[in-house]
Amino acid sequence: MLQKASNTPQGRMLALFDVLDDWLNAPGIEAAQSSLAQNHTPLKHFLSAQASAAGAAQADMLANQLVFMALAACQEKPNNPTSLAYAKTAAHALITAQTQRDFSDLNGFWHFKTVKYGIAASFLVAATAFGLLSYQKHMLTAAPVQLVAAVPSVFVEESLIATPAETAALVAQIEMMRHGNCQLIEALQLPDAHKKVYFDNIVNGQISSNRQEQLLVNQYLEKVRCNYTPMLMANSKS
Amino acid sequence: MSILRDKILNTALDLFQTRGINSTGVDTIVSVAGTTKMTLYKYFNTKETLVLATLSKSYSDFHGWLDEKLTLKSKKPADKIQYLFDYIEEWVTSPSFMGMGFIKASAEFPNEENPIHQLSHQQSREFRQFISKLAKDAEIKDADGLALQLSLLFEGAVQAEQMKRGSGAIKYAKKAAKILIDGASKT
Repeated sequence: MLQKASNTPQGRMLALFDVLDDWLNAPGIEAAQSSLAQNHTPLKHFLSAQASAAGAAQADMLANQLVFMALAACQEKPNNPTSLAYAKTAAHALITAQTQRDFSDLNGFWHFKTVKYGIAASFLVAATAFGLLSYQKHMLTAAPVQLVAAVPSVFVEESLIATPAETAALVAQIEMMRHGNCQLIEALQLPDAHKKVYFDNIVNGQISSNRQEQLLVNQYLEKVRCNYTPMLMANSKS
Repeated sequence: MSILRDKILNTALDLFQTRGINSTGVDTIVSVAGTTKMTLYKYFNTKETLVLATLSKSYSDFHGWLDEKLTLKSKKPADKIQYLFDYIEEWVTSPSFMGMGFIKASAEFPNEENPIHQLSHQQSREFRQFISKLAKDAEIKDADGLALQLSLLFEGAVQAEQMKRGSGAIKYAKKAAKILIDGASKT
């Protein structure tokens, strides 16, 4: 049930709260409440696997906490009918806290420009790092993957060569990012076909001339947040 | 308040926290405290009375400490909630931390009829009301909702920390709490 609930590990973990809520809303469920106190090992294993897939720092611990929070919310349900929805938001925040990498020891944000040379080594880490901001806004909606799923996944078609102007615009945008302070998105969640496009174009800056790929790149670029002010100030000093 | 009574209470608290309530007999408590069963039963009629007294002490120690820290730290009541998890972290990561009485006791006594369960549940509610008050002071609209979320985070992290010392659970709970507090402050 949880496996099918979402196509992201985060979504599958959070679905626990919806499933329990539905279940407790069902009529005549009081008698079954005692089964909540049963063995949760298989559930914890499942959640732990999802937490690992989502890149949680301590997957087993997160799984335990989620189960604890879900059960505590179930106990609270008679007093507060929306307890599971609240618990779900809290769980989402906890998952975010565990999956978001802390770059404070690397001088705050990731500086695109300075790390350019070390990209091969660090792109994986960087790519998994961010996505927090967009998550917070769409707290309970699904991850970026679903938004992009509408784009056809067939990329190689000869008739779909982008115009030079489109390619130039994209190159200019990527070039501008090199001067900013950019937070990349969580690429580990992207479908495999998208990952390659994402890394080639946005991370490595090799803009494809394929129109479909460019469309995809544009969609992902919208999710990359850049702050140009600090770097401009840094440039003016040098 | 008798010194002997305090000694028994503190010894019992220590033993309950480290070995569990059910697996600590009255015999162990009196021998560690260096007293007799007669004396123990003079102050506490039953083991249950003693357990309830340790729970009350454990909670009021924690709550009193936290409240004092927050009051000293914040000039305005509205700021207090921002520091809540900083001090919870300090408490949980201190070397003398042995778990949160009410969280352990409610796990050991799941039966809702049991007075120990009832007291631990009541303390859990009291703590949530305390957070709710902090949220109201900070002019957060959905203060009760935020308090529920923060107390779930808090109890989940303490429970994880009880299972494994130094787990770092509270660090992530603190980060998550910040996300929730920031989110609730905007609306």
